[in-house]
Amino acid sequence: MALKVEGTETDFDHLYRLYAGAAFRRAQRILGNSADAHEIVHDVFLSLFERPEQFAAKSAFATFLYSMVTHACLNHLRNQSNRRRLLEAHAPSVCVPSESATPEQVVELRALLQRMPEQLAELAIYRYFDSLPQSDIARVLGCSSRQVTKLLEQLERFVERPKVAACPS
Amino acid sequence: MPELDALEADCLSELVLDEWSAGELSPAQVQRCEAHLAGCATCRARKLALEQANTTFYSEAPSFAALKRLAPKPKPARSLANVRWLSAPLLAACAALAFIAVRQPAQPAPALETRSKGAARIGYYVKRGDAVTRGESATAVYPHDAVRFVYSADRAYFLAIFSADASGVGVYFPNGRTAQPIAAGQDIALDFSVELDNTLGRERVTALFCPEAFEIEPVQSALSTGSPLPAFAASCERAGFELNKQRAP
Repeated sequence: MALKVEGTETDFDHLYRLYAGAAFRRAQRILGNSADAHEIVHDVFLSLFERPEQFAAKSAFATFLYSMVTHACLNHLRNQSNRRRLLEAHAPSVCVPSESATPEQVVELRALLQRMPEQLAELAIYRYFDSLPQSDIARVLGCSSRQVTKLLEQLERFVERPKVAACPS
Repeated sequence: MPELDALEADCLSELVLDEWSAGELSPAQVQRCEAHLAGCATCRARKLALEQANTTFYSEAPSFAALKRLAPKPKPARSLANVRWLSAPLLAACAALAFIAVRQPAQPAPALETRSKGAARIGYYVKRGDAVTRGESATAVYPHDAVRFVYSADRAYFLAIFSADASGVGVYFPNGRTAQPIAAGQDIALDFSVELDNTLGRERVTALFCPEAFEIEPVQSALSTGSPLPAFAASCERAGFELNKQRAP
């Protein structure tokens, strides 16, 4: 579907109604609490409203939004880490995205995301939080399946595989 | 990871379900999805769960128009008088603070080179135990040192302070979505200190002083991915320094 991200507030409200639910669901799963997820959805859609040229229509809007929400969540996790360094009390409630993952594993994975190189952290979110197949990861990242295979190998070297369970959607 | 592999082989991914829900799939793709769904109770349940989650979200979340009005108003930074650990004698010393000169970043932040065309500056003090010293660019700092930022500006600006080290790009200031207004002045301390964690290595701290309010996230994203900064940044002043985080002797 060719989608133009531009226009009035009403146009954006339509876009928001189509996509914000998915954005929120993913942000909530990645960050572990709904307050921060609402903030991510707010920031992402406001940013798109103010700078619609961010969506260059090189991909479908859903894949573009997956990527945008992922980056926003990674930034949020890193900012949260900085805020902890400021010794401000902040203890978000933890949701468990998978029955097979314990809360400790999920927290550990979130902590790991803050230390990973950006591209691997993005990949880890698609792999472990979204449970996306390789072909979908390639679409969101805008690269070939072969490149994703190589990145997954790097990721698995970074992550202690037995400690991380996939999160079914 | 058997669950994941099984999904790859047979089932519709969440991305595909989202694309379907948003009407992005072609008629042929929809037909294939429907055919799969007809024989897969797992995917039917997943699709239903996603639809229910969306319904709940939209019933509770405000419209986009309402969301726009919810953006918080930034609060001004406090002056040096509010700083806790900068003592009175040190306040005097602050006047002589030599702010940190412009340097090339040693860590990833290729799009945010520091330049010094204007009069906006950023510096820092380090508190280690009871001792407070002026920080220099690349001076060694240790885990659990407290760092406090100070700025000088010849006019009012909107300010955000970013950090870039091997783990990525973060934001030190403000603790919110938009850059905060700051007043003109010399040696103004921001009202927080950072306790350094155990991460070692070089960390580039960059302050962006802009004439207009701006969203933090697009700048941080651009820095994280190495892509160009938003156009508004061309009208901003940049200043920064490096923290050289080393193991305590």
